[in-house]
Amino acid sequence: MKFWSLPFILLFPVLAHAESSALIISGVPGDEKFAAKYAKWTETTRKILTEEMGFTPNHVVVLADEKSTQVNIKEAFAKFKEQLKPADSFFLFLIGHGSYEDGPVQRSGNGPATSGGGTRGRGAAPPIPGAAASENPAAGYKFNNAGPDLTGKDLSDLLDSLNAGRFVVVNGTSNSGGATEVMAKKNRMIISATKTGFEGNDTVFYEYFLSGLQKAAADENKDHKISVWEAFKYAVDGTERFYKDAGRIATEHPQISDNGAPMTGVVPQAPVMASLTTFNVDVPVTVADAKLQAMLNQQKELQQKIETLQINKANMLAEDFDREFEKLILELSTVGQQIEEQKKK
Amino acid sequence: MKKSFAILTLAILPILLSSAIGGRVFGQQVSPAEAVALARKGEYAAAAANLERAVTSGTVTPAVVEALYYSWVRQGEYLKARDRFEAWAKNNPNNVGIRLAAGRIDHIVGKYADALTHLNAVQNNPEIGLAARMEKASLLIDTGKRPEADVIYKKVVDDYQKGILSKKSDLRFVARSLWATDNFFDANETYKQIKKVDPQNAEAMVDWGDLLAYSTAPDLAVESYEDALAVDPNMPEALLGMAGNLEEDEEGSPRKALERVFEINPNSIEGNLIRASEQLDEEQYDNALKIVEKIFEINPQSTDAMSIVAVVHYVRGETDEFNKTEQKVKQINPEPGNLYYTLATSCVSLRLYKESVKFARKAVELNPSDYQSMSVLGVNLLRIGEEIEGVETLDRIYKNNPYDKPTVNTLRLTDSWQNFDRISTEHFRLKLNKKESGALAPYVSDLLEKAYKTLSAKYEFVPEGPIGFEMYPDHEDFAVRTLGVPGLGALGVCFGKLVVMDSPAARKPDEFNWGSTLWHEFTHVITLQMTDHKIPRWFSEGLSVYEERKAYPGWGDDMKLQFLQSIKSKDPKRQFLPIAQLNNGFIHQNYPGQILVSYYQSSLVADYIESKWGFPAIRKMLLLYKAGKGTSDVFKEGLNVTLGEFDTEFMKWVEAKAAAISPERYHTSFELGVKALEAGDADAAIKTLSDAVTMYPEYSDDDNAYEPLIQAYIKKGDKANAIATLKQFLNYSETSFPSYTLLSTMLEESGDIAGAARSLEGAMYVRPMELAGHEKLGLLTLKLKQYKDAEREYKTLLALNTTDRAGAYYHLAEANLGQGNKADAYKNVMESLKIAPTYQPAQSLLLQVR
Repeated sequence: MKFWSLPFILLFPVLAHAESSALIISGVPGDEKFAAKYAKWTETTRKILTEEMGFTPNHVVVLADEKSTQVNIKEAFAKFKEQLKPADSFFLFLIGHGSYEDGPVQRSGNGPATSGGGTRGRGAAPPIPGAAASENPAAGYKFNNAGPDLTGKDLSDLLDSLNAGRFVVVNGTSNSGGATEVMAKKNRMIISATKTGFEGNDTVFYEYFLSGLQKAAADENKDHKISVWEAFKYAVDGTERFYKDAGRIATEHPQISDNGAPMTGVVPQAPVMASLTTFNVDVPVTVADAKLQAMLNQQKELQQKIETLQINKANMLAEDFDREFEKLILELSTVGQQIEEQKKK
Repeated sequence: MKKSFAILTLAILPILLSSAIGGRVFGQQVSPAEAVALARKGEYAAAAANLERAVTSGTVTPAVVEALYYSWVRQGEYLKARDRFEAWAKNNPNNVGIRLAAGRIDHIVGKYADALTHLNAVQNNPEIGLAARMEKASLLIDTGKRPEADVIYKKVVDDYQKGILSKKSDLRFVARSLWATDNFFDANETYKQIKKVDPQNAEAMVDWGDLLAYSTAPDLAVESYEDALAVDPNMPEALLGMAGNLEEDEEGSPRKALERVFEINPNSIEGNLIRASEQLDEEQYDNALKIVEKIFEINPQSTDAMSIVAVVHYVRGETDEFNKTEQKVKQINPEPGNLYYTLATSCVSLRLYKESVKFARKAVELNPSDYQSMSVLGVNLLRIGEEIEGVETLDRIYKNNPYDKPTVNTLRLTDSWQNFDRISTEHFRLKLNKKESGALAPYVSDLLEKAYKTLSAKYEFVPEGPIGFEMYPDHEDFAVRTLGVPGLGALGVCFGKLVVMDSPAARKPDEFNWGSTLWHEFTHVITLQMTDHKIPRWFSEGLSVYEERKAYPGWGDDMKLQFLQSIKSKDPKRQFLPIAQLNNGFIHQNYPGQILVSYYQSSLVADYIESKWGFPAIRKMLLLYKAGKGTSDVFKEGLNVTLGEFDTEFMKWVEAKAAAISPERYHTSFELGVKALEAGDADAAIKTLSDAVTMYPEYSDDDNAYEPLIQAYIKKGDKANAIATLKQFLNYSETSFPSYTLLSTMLEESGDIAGAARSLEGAMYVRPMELAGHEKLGLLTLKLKQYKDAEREYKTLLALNTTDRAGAYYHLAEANLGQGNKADAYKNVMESLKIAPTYQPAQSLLLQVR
C-alpha cells in the first residue's frame, strides 16, 4: 500500500482530455508489388485513424512515395510542432523499406543504454577509457523515403522537436529494430517489425498490426479501445502464425520499447505506458440527463481509479490489491447496472 | 549296444555328410593342420571327418582336439562328441586336450560331475590350463557355486595384471574374466586389443558381441558377430548373436539368422532356447514344451530348459508343477539366478509386470551383481508405479555398469520428470509435460474419467487404482519409458496400472488421434486387470480396437485396403491367421504390415463374437481367462465352439463383408468422379462417387471417394447430402480435421447445435491446440448448457494463452455458475474483470454471483 501513491501522481494527469495527431510516411516502394501493398497499408491506416479511432482528419498527415522527401517530412513536423499540446499524443507510422549498416552510430542524448553496433566477440580489443568510438555517418538504420534517406537519429531528433506528452512510433519496415536502438527514450513507445537492424527481409508485421486495430479480438480488456500493447500483441501473434503456417523460419521478430525501456517481445507483465495509451482518441461522453451524467462521471472516475490501481499492482501486496480491486470493481459494476437502468427510463 | 552304434556311425559318417553338404568331398583326406584350418573356416563336416581320423590315428595335439570338438559341437553332434571324448579320455587320461574337450562336452550335456573331474585334472596345465579354468568357472556358476567361480575370474585378472598371462590366446579369457568381475570398460578395451592382435579369434569376437549385447548396444554387438562370421561364416554362436541382436525388419533378418543356425546345427541348444522363448512370447506353451524336450534329449540337466518349463507352469497357474520344477533346478543350481531372470523377462513379455518384479528381485537377491535382472527390476518397478525404488535400483546399476542403455535412458527420462506437471483426478494420476499440460489436462482428464466410467460399467469391473497416465511430447521419450530404448513404432502402451502414450506434439499433424489412442490403452487397463493379465495379446488388442469403435464415430481401424487385401489374398502367408496362431501376428511379421492386419483381425473377432453371442459372451471369456483357461477352453466353454469351428464360421462372416468390394472398380469410380467434378459436372460426379462409397464404405484413406463427393454436393448446393456424406465419412476416418470442422460449421448452420458441438469435439482429438476450435466449441457447449464441457473448453483456452483471456474467464465463470459453482464463478469473473474492468457482461455476472 505504501508504495503506490507516487506512480499515481506521475501517470494520472496524462490520461484525460488529450488530442491525438498522426503522421503516416510511406517510403519509396521500389516496384509495383510493394507499391500496391504500401499504398493499401497507408490508406488503411489513415481510414482506421480517422473513421474508427476518432482522429480529427486534419490531425492526420500522409506523405507517401515521392512525397516522402526529407523536406516534406520536416515541414510536416514543423506544423505538428505548432499544433501539439503537452497532453497530446503523437503517432508516427513508418511504412516501406528500411536498411541498416553495422558500425558505431550516433545516439539520442538521453536514450536507454542499449548496446550498439561495432565489433563484438572474444578477442576484440577493449575500448580505450575516455575515448569515443569514431562514428560512421553511414552506420545504423535508414528509412527509405524519397531522396536522401532519414536515419533513425534524424527521426528521433524530429520527434524531439515536438511538444507532445506521448509518442507512438510504429515502424513496419525491414531492419526497423535498428531504428529503435536510437529512438527509444522516455515517453516514447517504439514498435518495430524486427528485433535488430540485421533482419532485412520484407516484413508482414504491419499487415497484422492493421488487422489488430480493426478487430475486437485484439481488445483484450474489452474496453472498446485498442491500446498500443494490445495491437502489438495481436500483431506479434499473427506474425508468428504466418511463419509457422507457411513452414518458414521467421525472419522478423517484432519488438516494443516502452517509455525508454529496452526492446522486448511479448512478455507476461504488460508495459505500463503501452497498456494505457490507446489508438482511440479519448472523447468525453456528455448526456442531457443530469442523473445519468453524474453516473457516467462516477463510472469514469471509478475506471480511472482501477487503472491507477492496476498500474501500481507490482508495488502492492497481492492481498491488498485484491481487496482494493474487489471493492472498486463491485462499485463499478453496480454503477454500470444503474446506468443501464437509468438509460431505460 | 551303445559302443557298436558308435562304431557304425563312425564308419558311415563321411558318406552321409558328403551327400548332405556340397562343395567339398569329405572322404578326401587332408592333413591335420589343413583340417584345423577347415574347422576355422566353418567347414565342420569335412574338418570333423579328417580330425577324427587324425585323433584315432594318434594325432592328439590340443589344437587338433579342440578343432574336432568345435566341429562336432557346432554341427550339433553333442552326443557323438560326448561318447567319443569320454571314450578317448578313458583311454588317454593324461592327454590334456582330450580331457579339456571331455570336460567341455560333459558340461554341455549336463554331466557336471564328470566335467568337473576332467577340468580339475588339467586346470594347472601350462598349455590349456587357463581354458580349463575358464570352463570350470562357467560350470561352477551353472551349478550354483558363484563364489568359487569368482575366485577363478579374479585370479585370471590378477595374473594378467602381474604379467603371468601375456599370450595373445590368453586375452580372450582375460576379457571374459574382466567382464565377469564387473570391469566392463576394461573388458571392452581388451576385446578391442584382441581384434588388433588376433583378428582370427572368432570366439573372442562372439564374446565381445555378447558383452556389447549385455550392455544393450545391439548394433555394435552385430558388428562383432559379423567380425566372427568373416572368419567363420557358419559359426553358430555368431549367428545366434545375430538372431538375438539384429533389428526386426521386413526381410525378417533375425529369423533368417536363426534358420541358418539350424541349417548348420539342427540340435542347437541355444537356438532351441530362443525358439522356445519365442513360443512363450506367442503364448504357445505346448510348442515351447515340445522344443525344450529336444534340449533335454541332449542335456537332461539343462536349467535353462527347465526355466522355460517353469514359465509355462507359472503362467498356467500349475503351482505344484512350478514348485517341483523350481526345486529340480535348485538341486542342480542352488542359486538359480537364471531361472528367476527367465521368469522375470517372460513375465514382461506376457504383461505380468508385478510378477516380473517379484522374480527379478529374487534373481538380484541371489546375485547382487546381476545387472540384467536388476535392470528388469528397475524398469518394471517404474511400470507398476514404484517410482522411488525403481529409480534407486537403476541408480545402483548405473554406478556399477554405466553402459546399460535402458538404465541410462530411463534415468535420463526420470530426471526429465521435473519438467512434468503431476495432476490428480478421481481415478488417475497424470504426468503431462509442463509445456502442454495446461492445454491437455482438461481434455485428457475428462476423457480418462469418461473411459473409466463407461468401460467399468460395461465390463462390470472396477480396476485397481489410482491409474498412472503419462504423455510424452517426444516420441523417443515414450519409447524409452516403454522399452528403455528408442525406436518403438507404437503410439501407446498399457502396463496394467499405467498408461504411457505419445502426446499430439510427438506425431505429425493430422496423423494421430490421441483420443482414440487413450481409449484403446484404457481398455487394456480393464482387460488386463480383469483377467489378472492372463488375456492373450490378440484378444486384448482386439477388444481395445473394438472399444475404440464404440467410443466415438470414426475411432478404431476399419477395413483399410491392406486389410481387405489380406482377406482376399490367395497366399496363405498373407491371409488372416487362425485364432490359435493370432498372437504370432503381433510378434513376428511374415509380411510388412502384418501387425496392423492382426490388430484389425482381432477387433473383427470381437465384433463377430458380439454379433453372434452378444457382449456378455465377451465378458464370460475374460472371466475364463482369469480362471487360467487356455484359448481353446475359453472358446469351448464361453462360446461352445472349437477353435476350428470358430475359424471357419468367422472367415465366412469376414469374407461376406468383403465379397462385394473390388478395389480396382473403386479406384476407377474415384478417378471418373474426380474428373467429372473438375469438369463441373456435379451430378455425374455424385453418381460415380456414390457408387464407390456404397461398394466400399469403410475406405477413408488417401484418394477416398467421400471427399470429392462432399465437394460435389456442396457445389450443387445440396447441404443435406453433404452433411450426410460427411457424417458417413467421419464414421470411418478419425484424423480428418478439416472434415470435422466443416461438418460442425454445416450442422450449426442447419440448426443442429448439438451435432456441431459433437463434431468439433472430434476435431479436438486430432488438433488439441487449435484455438479457434476451442473458442467455437466453448460457445456451442454454453449454448447447449453443457457446462462441464464448456468449463473444459475455457480452461483449455486459458492454458493455450488465448488472446481473449478476459472473455475466456468470463465464459468459464458462466460454465461454473451453470454447474451451480458460485465460488469458482466469482473467482473467475473477477479474473476476467482484472483484465477487462469495463467488460459489461462480466460486471453483470459479478453482481449475479457475489
